[in-house]
Amino acid sequence: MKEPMEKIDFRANVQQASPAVIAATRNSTRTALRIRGDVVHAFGEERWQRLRQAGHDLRLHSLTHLDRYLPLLEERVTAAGGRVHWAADAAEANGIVREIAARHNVRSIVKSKSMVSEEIGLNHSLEAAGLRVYETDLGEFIVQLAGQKPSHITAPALHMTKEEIARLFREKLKVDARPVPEELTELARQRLRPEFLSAGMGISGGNFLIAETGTLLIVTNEGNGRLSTTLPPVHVAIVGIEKVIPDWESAAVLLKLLARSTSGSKITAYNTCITGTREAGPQEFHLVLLDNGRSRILADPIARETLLCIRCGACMNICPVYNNVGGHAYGGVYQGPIGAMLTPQLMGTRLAGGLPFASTLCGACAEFCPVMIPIPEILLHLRHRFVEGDACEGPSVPGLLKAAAWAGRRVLGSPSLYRLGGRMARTLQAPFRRGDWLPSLPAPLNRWTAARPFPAFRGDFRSWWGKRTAAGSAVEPGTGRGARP
Amino acid sequence: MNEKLSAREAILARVGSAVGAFAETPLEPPASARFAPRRAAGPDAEMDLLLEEVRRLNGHGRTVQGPGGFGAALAELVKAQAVQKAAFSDHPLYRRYDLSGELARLGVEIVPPTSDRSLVAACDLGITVADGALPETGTVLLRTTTGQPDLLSLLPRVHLALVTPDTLLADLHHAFSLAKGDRHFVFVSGSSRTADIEKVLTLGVHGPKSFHLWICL
Amino acid sequence: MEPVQLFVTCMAENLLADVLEKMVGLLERLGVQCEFPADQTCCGQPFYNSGFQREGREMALRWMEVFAATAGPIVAPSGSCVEFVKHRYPLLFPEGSPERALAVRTAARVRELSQFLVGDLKRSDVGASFPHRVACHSPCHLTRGLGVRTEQQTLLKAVQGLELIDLNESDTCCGFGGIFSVVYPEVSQAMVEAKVRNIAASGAEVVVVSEPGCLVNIRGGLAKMNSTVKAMHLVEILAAQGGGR
Repeated sequence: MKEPMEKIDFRANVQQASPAVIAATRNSTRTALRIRGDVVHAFGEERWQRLRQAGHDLRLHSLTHLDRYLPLLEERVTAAGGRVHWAADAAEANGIVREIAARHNVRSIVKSKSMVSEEIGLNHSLEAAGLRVYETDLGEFIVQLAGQKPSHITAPALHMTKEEIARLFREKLKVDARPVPEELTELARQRLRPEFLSAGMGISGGNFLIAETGTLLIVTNEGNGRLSTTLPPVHVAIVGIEKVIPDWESAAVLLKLLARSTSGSKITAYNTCITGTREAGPQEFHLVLLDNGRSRILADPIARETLLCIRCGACMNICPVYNNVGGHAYGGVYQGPIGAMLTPQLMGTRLAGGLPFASTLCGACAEFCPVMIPIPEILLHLRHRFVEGDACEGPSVPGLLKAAAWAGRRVLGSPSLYRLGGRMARTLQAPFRRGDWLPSLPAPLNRWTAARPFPAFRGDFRSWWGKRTAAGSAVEPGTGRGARP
Repeated sequence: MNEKLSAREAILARVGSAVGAFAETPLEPPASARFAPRRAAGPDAEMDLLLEEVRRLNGHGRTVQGPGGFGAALAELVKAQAVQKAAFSDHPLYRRYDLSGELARLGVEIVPPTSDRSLVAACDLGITVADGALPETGTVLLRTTTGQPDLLSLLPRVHLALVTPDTLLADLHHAFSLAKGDRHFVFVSGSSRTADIEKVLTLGVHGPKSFHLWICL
Repeated sequence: MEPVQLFVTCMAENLLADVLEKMVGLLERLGVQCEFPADQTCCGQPFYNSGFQREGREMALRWMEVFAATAGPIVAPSGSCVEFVKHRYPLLFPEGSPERALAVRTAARVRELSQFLVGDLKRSDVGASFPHRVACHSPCHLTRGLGVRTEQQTLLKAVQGLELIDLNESDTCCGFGGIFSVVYPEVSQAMVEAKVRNIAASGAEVVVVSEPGCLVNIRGGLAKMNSTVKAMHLVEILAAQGGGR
């Protein structure tokens, strides 16, 4: 049932991004960064850094002891009346959920926000089985209505303006909608309330799984996470195996990091803690533990830290690339720096090897990441996987580029060829030179000059140095332009 | 069933070989993974902080003094929010304040929390007694029981949480150690909210639109 | 004081020879003798960061061997190249190997210019005069990578007649990013345009960009957008004594 996956062409996607989408994205991320900055400042910079370190060490400990925490979690969930399912991939997870729905004659489903369900294409799978699925997170609801994909992991409709959303509501919900966020929100509430009350199944993701007690922890601001997991008679939670943490002390650390990084608040409006089944709650609680490539990522000591991620979205808010392309350019479920790291590992670099290059390695994301994922380091690791291959995957880089790198290394690695190259560049540039600039160069160098001119190869430091050494340091600095072609 | 067992075994085998190098290290998280909880200030300062944080979350925080103060505050709330129907469970605190009597006098219809959920959803006001409160974040801890179901703080458009000073907790860590044995509990901080449309804060998405926290002295 | 070894970087050598010449002039004015290991080539970063780790490692080894024949601090007008040598080189070679030991020794010797002036020479006032309104870009690898966050400002504030003004989003990447600029030229262009808009809005006459890659990028962006603001390396300002730009 796995959908055939297509190669992600980041450059082509970028060229399709509209200026309006990018403007809306920037406006939203700017606000998000400002409120995050305020709340981190209030927490205290030094204290925040200590909290981040604790979050990092905690998540890494959890991952490297997953072989013991997973069975412990399973035991505790089962003891509390829950059912634990294991899914090796998307097809298995989708099959498990469809089977539970069929057993309960479910016809409609309410879903709270879950990136994992996007990752496995759950809605598509359920709809193909004749089920109605309602996304209930406001952003997800909007995106589902528009037939689009989320453009941000925590704010799925970040790329849309209130005017677009009002137009969408008028068209799809047949209601009179004005471009006022409060009114649009109220319309979504009225539309979804009956669905919550009548759905046969609620589906959620999970922010953390606490091994100590077998607890699923869900954070939401809207309350849809609570409604989806309280009202329907069956609750199915689909969670990646990497979300397991040891205990409640760990949860305390991570919730502080998550709320501040995601929404710039000290705490998320609702933190819901669910352990198995309960009186007056859903009759059945199912936990689907999804691997879908995570155990493979775990085996790579450098790439492993990708799995530390707590899905806060701060990396994309701060990322200058994300802010100039919007979330859809990343082609997958995860956007921004986390998408550039995670998607090539889930899909393979053969299909998504261009994403690790969609970064200037500026390091802003790593400075913001609440669990200190060394993002540039992992991107470099994946670039290397793409180019030279590693234990995980063979190389996918085009042969021509490989040959160019080989030649480049010969030239730049040999003093004589290097000097010759410098002299040749100064000669060969003549036909392209306009004053101090080379305004346009032939392919592939036009990839640079289409954006801005290249500076002319001017001066010759080596001959300047040689002359002044010979003359006993008599040559004025900055005047050694004698070697101009 | 056999297939699922095999998925389990396969995943655990892959995870085991991926982290095999850590097999001998202790399961207890390292000290560097811990973060000391916040320490509480004096009782008065903590109460002030709680109310201030509730207001910061666009909620309404106040203290009420004895049954008289409670009755007056309730009358105010019922009027301001145009409350016609209210739902709440049974609690000694309600009896002390004669909640049912006060609401009846104010002409408010009382809906039992065990009624059909659509009746609870049609209520204007849901009342809960908090099992704990976190001043630092303006949060109440609500432990779900059959007597006080989750729906009370979720379906009605106004949520009133009553807090007694003895339940104030310094930090999440303390709240967790109190409730972690429960099957279900929630932390509620303000009303339901979103910023999904142009990052504009909007109150009242799927849950309550208005949050009130009263410290009962 | 022992002489410093000039680490000219391939980018500065080929595109910014005047910056290197002024760097020599400045250091000598401050009484520091300069030596130039002429066999130096590229440090390997462009290869390593593009995924060609094997090529990067081979070039790093060559580069280290050239400088191993010298002594004293190794000074470059680039935070990016210095960061690569300082942080990456030791990781390129297996623990316990002689190459690793050499890399660790080399890493301890490299300095970015402003880091050398403020940290080693303990100078903030280098006797420069530059009566202009100046804004300062914060290059990513210099600030986040190398942790050199205040040295540029320290030096600029001591320049006679110089008015240091704020640059909005000064620490946002300019969009160079090495191979990124040619793999995704449209994004790189959008980023440099955003940088240029901020520079134009600052009201500065000159923007300091102390990183060869960023300098080439931002200078190009300013030219493309017909800006009158001039992008200069920090060295060019510190070397100035007459006051002209």
